[in-house]
Amino acid sequence: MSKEIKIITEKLHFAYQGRAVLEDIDLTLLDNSIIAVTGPSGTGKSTLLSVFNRLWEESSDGVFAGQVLIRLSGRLVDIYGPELPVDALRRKVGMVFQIPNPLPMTIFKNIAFPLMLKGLRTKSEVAGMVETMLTRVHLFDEVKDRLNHDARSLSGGQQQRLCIARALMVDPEVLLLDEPTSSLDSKASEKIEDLLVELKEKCTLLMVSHYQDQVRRIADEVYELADRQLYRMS
Amino acid sequence: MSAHIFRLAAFASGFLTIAVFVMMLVLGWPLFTSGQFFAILTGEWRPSNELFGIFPMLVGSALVSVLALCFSLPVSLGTAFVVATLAPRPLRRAVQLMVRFMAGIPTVIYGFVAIFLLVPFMREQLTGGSGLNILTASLVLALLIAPTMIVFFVSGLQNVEERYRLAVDALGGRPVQKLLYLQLPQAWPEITAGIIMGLGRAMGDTLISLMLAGNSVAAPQAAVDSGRTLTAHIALVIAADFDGMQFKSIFACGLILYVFTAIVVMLLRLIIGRSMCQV
Repeated sequence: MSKEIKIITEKLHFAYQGRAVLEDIDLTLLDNSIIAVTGPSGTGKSTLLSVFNRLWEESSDGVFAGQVLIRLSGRLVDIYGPELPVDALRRKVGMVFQIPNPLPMTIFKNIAFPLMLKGLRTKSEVAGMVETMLTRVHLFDEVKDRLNHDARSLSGGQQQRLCIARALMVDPEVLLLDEPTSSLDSKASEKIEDLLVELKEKCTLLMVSHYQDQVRRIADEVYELADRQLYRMS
Repeated sequence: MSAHIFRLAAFASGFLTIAVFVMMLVLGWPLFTSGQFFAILTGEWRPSNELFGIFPMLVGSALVSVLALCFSLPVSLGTAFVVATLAPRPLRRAVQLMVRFMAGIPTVIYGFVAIFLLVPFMREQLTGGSGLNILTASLVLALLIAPTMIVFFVSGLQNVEERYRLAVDALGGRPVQKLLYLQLPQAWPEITAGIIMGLGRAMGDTLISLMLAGNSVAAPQAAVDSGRTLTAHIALVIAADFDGMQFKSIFACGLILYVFTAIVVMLLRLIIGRSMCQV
């Protein structure tokens, strides 16, 4: 079965505090795949990710130009256009950060948090969904007896799987991953990699990674960001 | 050398705080030895009948400060929400600037403006009488304590770590959801501290209640009654007497205010200390 186009960027340009970080990036990415972006530190890989969920708007004095289209619910949508509110975009384009960032609340509440944002509050329904999601990221057996414990008490690897589960809770169509294993040991990284390979059946994963081995193991397409340009690697 | 100076300054301020307490205790000692202390706490103020009770002032102080807190809390919380999260950045800065400016206005200006604007309104539209009553004083005190509370609230709401805020943003949380589900639960120690600080400020203020509460020595039965607070009572008695029993009775007022302030400070330290431990 041929894959559909999931993301298109046209003449993407991003400047931060007057300095160009990304220039004229034209990109076409297919769905149900893992796309890795590599490159030296400080070249704007994380900035590139934040362009796809407009998260840069929350914290920086960035200037964006160009067009980013993402196929959401079967239709290519201009994510900077007026028809898509930013909160709706971010529910469709989830994000996992470099350093795991569980919220300062229990494991259960962390996973249920996105449902609360959507207004879903039926306790039994939420409990079932939390268990399903924790099982999906292979975390349920490890935490089932301490769902009411502070999520920050989990190990780094467990925290990152928790964050992935939290991001998946609202069924995103694209998942952005900013070096998701950089703060983890090799065993925990392996578990995350296996999970990402499973996840691409359901969504498109755009991942920034420093690790060439990891990229070779799991990525379907690899790009390198250098000199403000994105180059497709063979 | 500079360390010695700082140590000396710290010692001097600590010593002065204790000295104030000891001074009030010594000057009020005749009250304790004559067994009148509790009679003063619970009795009426009728100096012509040799009755020097401060119970009406205790009620007045409690009513004025609690009412001021009730009026100020929702407004201060709302302003803090706007400054911390909800408003666009230029508006946040403008409101924050205004709040800081409010904090710097001398108390007498609030009282002065209220006498010309609020008192006539209260007299003609709401409470009748002279317009000088507990309600009028507490409304102006609410305005006076608001900047103190807002500063605490904003600091608490903005202190929530950036990574948590970004996590909620990345999940599609709207600003108001981020505020209600993340920032507010995280900021409760500062919010509690702000409330206690506001209450302490309202209880300790002299000029507003002196100018606007009416200064009646009868215990107020309702918010629209005229009343006198402990601080206003001290100011009024000290201006009229310097040696008699009236004068000595104000040390009971001083002791109560001192103990109340000490409790407020200790509660603040406890709350802030606990929140630091949780980080």
